[in-house]
Amino acid sequence: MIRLAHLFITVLTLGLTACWPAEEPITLPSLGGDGTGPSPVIASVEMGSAYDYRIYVSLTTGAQYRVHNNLFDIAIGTAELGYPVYMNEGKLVRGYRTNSYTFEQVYATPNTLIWTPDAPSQNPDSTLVGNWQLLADTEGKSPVYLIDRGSLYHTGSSRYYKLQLLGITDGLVRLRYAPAAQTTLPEEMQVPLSSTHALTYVSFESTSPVAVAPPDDDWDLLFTRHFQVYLDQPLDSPTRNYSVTGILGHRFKGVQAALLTNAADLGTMDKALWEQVPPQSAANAIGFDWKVFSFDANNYLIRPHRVYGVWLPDGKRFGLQFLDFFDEQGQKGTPTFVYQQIP
Amino acid sequence: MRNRAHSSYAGTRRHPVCGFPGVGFLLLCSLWLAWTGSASAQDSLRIRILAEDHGDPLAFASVRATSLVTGQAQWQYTDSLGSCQFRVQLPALLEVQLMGYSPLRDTLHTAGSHTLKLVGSGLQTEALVVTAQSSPVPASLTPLNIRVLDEARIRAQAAPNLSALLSNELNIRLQQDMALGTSLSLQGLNGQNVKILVDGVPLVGRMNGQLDLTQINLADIERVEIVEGPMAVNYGADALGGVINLISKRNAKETRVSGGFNALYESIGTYNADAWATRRWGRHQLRLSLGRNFFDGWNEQGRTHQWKPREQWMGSASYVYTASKTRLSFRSSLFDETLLSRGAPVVSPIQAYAFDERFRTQRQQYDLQWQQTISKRTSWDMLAAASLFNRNRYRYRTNLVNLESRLLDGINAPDTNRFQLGMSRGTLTYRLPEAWEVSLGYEFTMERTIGDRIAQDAPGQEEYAAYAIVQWKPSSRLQLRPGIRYTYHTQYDAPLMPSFNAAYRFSPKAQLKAAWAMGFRAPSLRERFLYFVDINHNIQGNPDLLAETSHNYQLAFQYKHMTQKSAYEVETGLFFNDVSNLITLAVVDMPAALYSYRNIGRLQTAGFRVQSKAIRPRYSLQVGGLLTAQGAPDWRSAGGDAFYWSPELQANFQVKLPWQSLKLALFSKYTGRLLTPMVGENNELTLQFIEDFMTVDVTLSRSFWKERLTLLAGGRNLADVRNLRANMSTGAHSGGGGSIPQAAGRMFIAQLNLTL
Repeated sequence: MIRLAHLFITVLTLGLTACWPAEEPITLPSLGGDGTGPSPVIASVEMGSAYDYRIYVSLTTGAQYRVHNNLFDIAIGTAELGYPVYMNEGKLVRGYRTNSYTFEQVYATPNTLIWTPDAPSQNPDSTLVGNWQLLADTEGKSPVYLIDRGSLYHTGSSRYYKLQLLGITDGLVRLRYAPAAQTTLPEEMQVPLSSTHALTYVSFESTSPVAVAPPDDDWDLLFTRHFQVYLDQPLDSPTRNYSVTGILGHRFKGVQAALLTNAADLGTMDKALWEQVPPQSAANAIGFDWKVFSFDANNYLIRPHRVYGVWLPDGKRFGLQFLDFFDEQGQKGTPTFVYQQIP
Repeated sequence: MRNRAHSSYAGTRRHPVCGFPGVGFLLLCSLWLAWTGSASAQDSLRIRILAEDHGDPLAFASVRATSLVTGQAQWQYTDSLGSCQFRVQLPALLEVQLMGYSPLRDTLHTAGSHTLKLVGSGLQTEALVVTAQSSPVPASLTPLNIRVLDEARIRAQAAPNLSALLSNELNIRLQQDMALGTSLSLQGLNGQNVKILVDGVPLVGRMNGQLDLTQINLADIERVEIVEGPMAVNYGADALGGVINLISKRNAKETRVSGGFNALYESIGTYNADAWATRRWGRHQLRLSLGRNFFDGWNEQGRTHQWKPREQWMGSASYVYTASKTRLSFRSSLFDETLLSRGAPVVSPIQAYAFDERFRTQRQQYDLQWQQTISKRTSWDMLAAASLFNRNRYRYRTNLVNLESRLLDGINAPDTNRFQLGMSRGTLTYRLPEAWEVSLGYEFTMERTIGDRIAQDAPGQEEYAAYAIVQWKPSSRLQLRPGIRYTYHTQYDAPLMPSFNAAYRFSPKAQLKAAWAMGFRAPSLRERFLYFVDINHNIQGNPDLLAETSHNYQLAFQYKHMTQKSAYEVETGLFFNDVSNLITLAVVDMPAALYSYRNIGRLQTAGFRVQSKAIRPRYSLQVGGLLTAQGAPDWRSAGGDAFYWSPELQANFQVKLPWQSLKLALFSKYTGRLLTPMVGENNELTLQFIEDFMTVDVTLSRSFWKERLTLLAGGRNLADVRNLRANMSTGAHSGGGGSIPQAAGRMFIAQLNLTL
């Protein structure tokens, strides 16, 4: 009986007192490096948990410029770039090129349309409107484009617009736009192109250009939401054009970037990689996959040991590594990164 | 009387039954057989069957009387007093059979009363079932297809919860979600269509439409009854696939205070312990229980676990008052679970932290049951219950340097899902002499769901239902059970639900069961009022959803042969479900990526099973096989097969070893590869699959101290099934994966059961 009581007490104690083991505290790693050259800089940008904001960042000065994604619909490049037209990737604008050159005859947006976004590389030949002059008619007018301004900030009739580039006169880009269902001809708008910005921004809510980005000299990287185009998916697949959040380099002023390594940290990486990895001019050379959504963790995780190189047109080089994607409240959309100028 | 019953039945056979020709044909055949099997009445015999050891009357004993003059035979089952009557020309040979007792043969030469005593055979007696019954009855004697997993089975398998118990049951598939727990499908229909009851009270708290089976503990459960096929007439909505009814322990067998203690250890980190005490005095019985289940997580990856750590506390108190004609029972049960989901660490030179989540689930159930015998022929059975479910998610930011945790707010503030249910069900049963039993019942259900993702103006749902079930035995061979349920629902039009069950006994050994029933699943509050819109999701409920409806057809043949020391049973069956108005999450606005619930399409499931069981005093062996299939017109029109088949095989073996009185038990099941087609926007067909797997559990147990102490050791999941290869899409707001978790790995188990 005494043995039985011992057994009972032992099992009862084990069953009722088992508990989760305590954790061991972590010691923070150092930034590493050999102490030569400029010190590494740690920065965070706040895009908002819904990625409503786009952040322009200068690696040289560390300055940040934060604006709402809904400030503009399209952007027009300078004469040097060939007047290309880009759609606002930050609010997921997409378009459809019609076969019509008569603005008022386009007024329907059937559900069967397959909308196309601009490629994140921002190569003009991978964008919908892009070098529109190549398709201009004898009068210099582009085809009429239907524009889906995205469901993030627009509903009903304000979501779908039509756009037509009419030509270039005295350095002014002439265009017209109107709600897609409108059957009357709107007034023509003449857009003077900025001399300090590679892109001039146009909102369908305004009749004159709007201020969005800081001057070209003041930013190198843009943190924004954009479409990633998966060409292996069918055209009408919901996963062909997938909304992601990442970094677009300022390709219009010649910023280039590349992934240097996925196996080392900024302070410990092999410096020879700078000479071995060629820089890329595509705007999304850094892109979005420095983080990954983990279905096990049901959250975003930073992919460790990925160091990107950024080449500026003035010859400066910066190493860049991401540390975090969350703010103190656990809300996503706040990338934290460390960057360091390479001597 | 028998002849009147036959002529009454003959009058009705001209009319089709529910428009279902198969059942009508069966009815006609049964009538003919019943008619030709009748005997002319001569002498009156009143038979009473008692147990030899304790002298109690034995109900449901099969008694066959064969006139040695005419050769005509007839049989009946004894009633609750162990009695039955015959009119037969004497002398007559009397043969009595009852599971758990040695068969008895005797020749009677005189009319009048005879008392016969059966001797225990050492075989386990057949369990009585109560699900959808007016009174307890052996599963083989009801026209419904009911499986019973009794306490002996629960103990032999060392199953701590419903998930473990059902893991090797045929026609049941389990799926794992690391946050929401284990869910099931039955007859190829997912868990939304399977109603899980505790003592007849529906369990609430379906997260994403599913109940977490690991939260349904078996420490306080006497047996589990599984009814396949729609049970809408008895239990209303959400029982398209069937009903799983857990019967709690309420009775106190001892007149003094008795108690017990159970403990279970699993090498994956499970430490369970529970204790109970009972007391019986006079007409009163009291039972108290308290338990704790602890799991410290499995498959650790850094500080995260694939299988999340959880701690459960549960307690219950029940009181039973029994008088000659009245039985009142009250039970309350409480359950509290904390599940810890540790996040992946974010470590950088500036900080180290992780986002951790704690999910706290609380269940409360209170029920009052009242059974009243009003007269010899009339009884009343009523249930009133309230059930509450809360699930809170708390999200923390844990500083991994100083290990301080801070509760987050904003969009990560604690959120709550709350389900409330109030219900009452009552049945008035009137038994006409010999052949008829009529049950008239009502059910009232009030349900409310409150949650952060449920629209604020979502109304509660109330359901008022009336039902009628008739059990008619036109002859000793044939048993018919038509039923119908009318439901008024405050939020949608509930369909009229009929059902029809029939059982025909070719002999005391062989019977055929056939069933047709309609079922329906009410659109859940989530499907009607979900509002889940953020940057990654745009899923909105549809208040205009119709109920899913189904037709279920079942046919089963059972053969049971009993000898003095053994019993053999073979059962084969077919089922077919045809579900209409299937509620599906669909893209309704492609440009806006808006998903909503729609009544789209049909789903058909079918199956064929064969099971065999052999029971001897020293061992029992059960083997079975099942082929289930899913099909849909949409799949066929997209070029798919008519049905996609998946096999299951089961083998359970229990033996009492001659050495040291050890008992060895083996439970195994092979679950075949599951194919599920998906039809895309352009009518293209893609096949999703889950690979096949095998589960094997082995236990070895020995009892000591006059069976009061039992020690068990064994292995669970000996095939070491962990993740299954699969290409499943997991919904609109998440992605697919290359594998899905199915089970924690191979584990050693040890269990102790002590009864004082």
